[in-house]
Amino acid sequence: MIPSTMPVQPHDTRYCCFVVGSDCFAVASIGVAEVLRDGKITRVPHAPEAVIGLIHLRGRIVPVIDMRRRLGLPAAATPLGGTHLVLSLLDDWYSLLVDEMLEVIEVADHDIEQPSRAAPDSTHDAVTGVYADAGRLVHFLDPQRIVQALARQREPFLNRQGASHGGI
Amino acid sequence: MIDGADTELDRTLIESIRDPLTHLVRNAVDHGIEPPAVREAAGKPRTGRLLLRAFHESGQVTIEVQDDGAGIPVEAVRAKAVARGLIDAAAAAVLPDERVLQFIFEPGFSTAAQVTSVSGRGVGMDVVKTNIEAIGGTVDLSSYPGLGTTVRVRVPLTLAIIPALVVRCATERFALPQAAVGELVSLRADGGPRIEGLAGADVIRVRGRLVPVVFLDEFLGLRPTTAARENGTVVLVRVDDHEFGIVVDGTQTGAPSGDPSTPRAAHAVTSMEAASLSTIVVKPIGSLLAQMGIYSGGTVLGDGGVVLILDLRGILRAKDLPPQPRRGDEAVATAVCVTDNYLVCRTIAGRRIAVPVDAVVRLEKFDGQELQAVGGKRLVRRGDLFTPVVDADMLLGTQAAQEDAGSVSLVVLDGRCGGIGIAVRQILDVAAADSILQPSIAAPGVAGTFAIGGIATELLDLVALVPTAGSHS
Repeated sequence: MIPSTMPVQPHDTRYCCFVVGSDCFAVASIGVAEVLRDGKITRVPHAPEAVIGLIHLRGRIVPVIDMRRRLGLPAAATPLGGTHLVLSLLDDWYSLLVDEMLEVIEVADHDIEQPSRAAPDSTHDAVTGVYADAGRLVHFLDPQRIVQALARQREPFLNRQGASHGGI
Repeated sequence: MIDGADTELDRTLIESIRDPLTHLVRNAVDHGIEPPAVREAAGKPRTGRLLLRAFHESGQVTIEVQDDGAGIPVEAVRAKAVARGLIDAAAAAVLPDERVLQFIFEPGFSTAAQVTSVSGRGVGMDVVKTNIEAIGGTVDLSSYPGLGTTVRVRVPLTLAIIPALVVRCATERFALPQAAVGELVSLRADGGPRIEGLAGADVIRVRGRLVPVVFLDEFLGLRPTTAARENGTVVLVRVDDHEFGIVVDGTQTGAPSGDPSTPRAAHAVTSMEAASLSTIVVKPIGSLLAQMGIYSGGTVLGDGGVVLILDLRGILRAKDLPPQPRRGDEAVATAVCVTDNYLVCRTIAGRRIAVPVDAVVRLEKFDGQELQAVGGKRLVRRGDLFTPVVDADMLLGTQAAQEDAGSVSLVVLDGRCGGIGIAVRQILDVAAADSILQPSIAAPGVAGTFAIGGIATELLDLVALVPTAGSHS
């Protein structure tokens, strides 16, 4: 569809794969700032459930999204273990807490299949495509959608507190 | 007039607020300030006054655009909100004025009918709000008919260095901007300062004033609310016209951390110097968490730990605390204008009166036998405490009804009003006024009349009580 006179956009086709629960997921490597283990997490009261706290990353404060909770999976056997996959989304940085990092794979756009539109639940709403690779299924995630759903899911904090205030 | 011209702000933020600010200034000049002839007729100076103020506060930059114009006609906004279907008529009738004004920020609120007096003011206010919120800021608006309008824009600092007080609560630490902190009060179980409940709301008594308090652990859901409240520290903070206390376990250096129940041998009132102040670098915590409105940022302390900075204004909003007027007689006068809730009572003679809830310390019931007369004054005794009693009907200049043995309620006012008790037949309700106050001219003891719960109610003139109070104290 692209006219031949237009320069073809160089498109990064590398993806970072990781494991959450028993499934394999991937995000575009271009958005990945850093991968680190551990890090002391400061909890944030009243934050969306999947946001388990904040970590300090070289002068920056980064919210941590527990991908097990975000994807609606049971909590890990060893709580708060895992690896931080730190993403930079424009000015916002987020850390995805995943069970295990895997390799970086290179996948051409046309090899990525549309996800099944069965149920847009918390497990699948951020999945933009799937890819069968060496006997396993890789689910591609859109980082923006991971965060956006959390913003919507935010508890109506102000209303709830306000409602508790009554007269004499 | 420009105040705070040297208040610094990040360059990217300046770019983002230029247009909204220009709009606000233009609005104030176009629609707020009246023509000279109108101003003169209203007894104001011919020249209008527009004040631009900028200052740092709570890790944010506040910019105020204040005019001394006609103010926003609240009733017109209310009518328009109903006409546009934003709220139904019944709900609109009881909505407090300040909430009504928020409709100004609705998209297209004013563009529909430019001809009405209210429309001009709202043009593009939704755009202003959207732009400011896009950079994580807030816009507040207050307006008093005939006195003018103030629009307050608050934008976060992307990077700022502020002095802060680090407090402990449950197992967590939080930072509070020192600029808002007035003093620290250590709670003592043995007769020292303690939290009291005034009609369901927790308050602490500080030098005769009653200040509402928020339990930080409860507010943040940090632990079950069964925790002992006898120990701990109340951080008294002031935000805008509100003063409130935040109950925490202690300050950073108060006691060995980890054991919040350790009794501290602190003075009842700790001076600020004794508390642990640190200079912190305010860092953003990401839009997802900033949107929650209760944290204005985070910081990394010397030990490498991440600490959230509490947004005091957010706490105030969430808890919906009533305004606390400043100390002094002048404050009583403002309380009459700005207070939200009124105690509605029926006097012994049957008149329906209102008293600002802010001014009420406690409510009591008593019968005639408990009254004691000393030197022409009537007093009611509670333990060692004598409260002078005045019949509400006497204040209003009506003949008190025949003294009878029925039960009488006493509305005890705070020290600013002389600590007197006003005797009434019955406490009816606590409610916000439905209408603006119509000042009264001839009636003594009455500041004006307004509707509460749809019924005309007279507001007791507390300012008139102040001179008589002076003789007691």
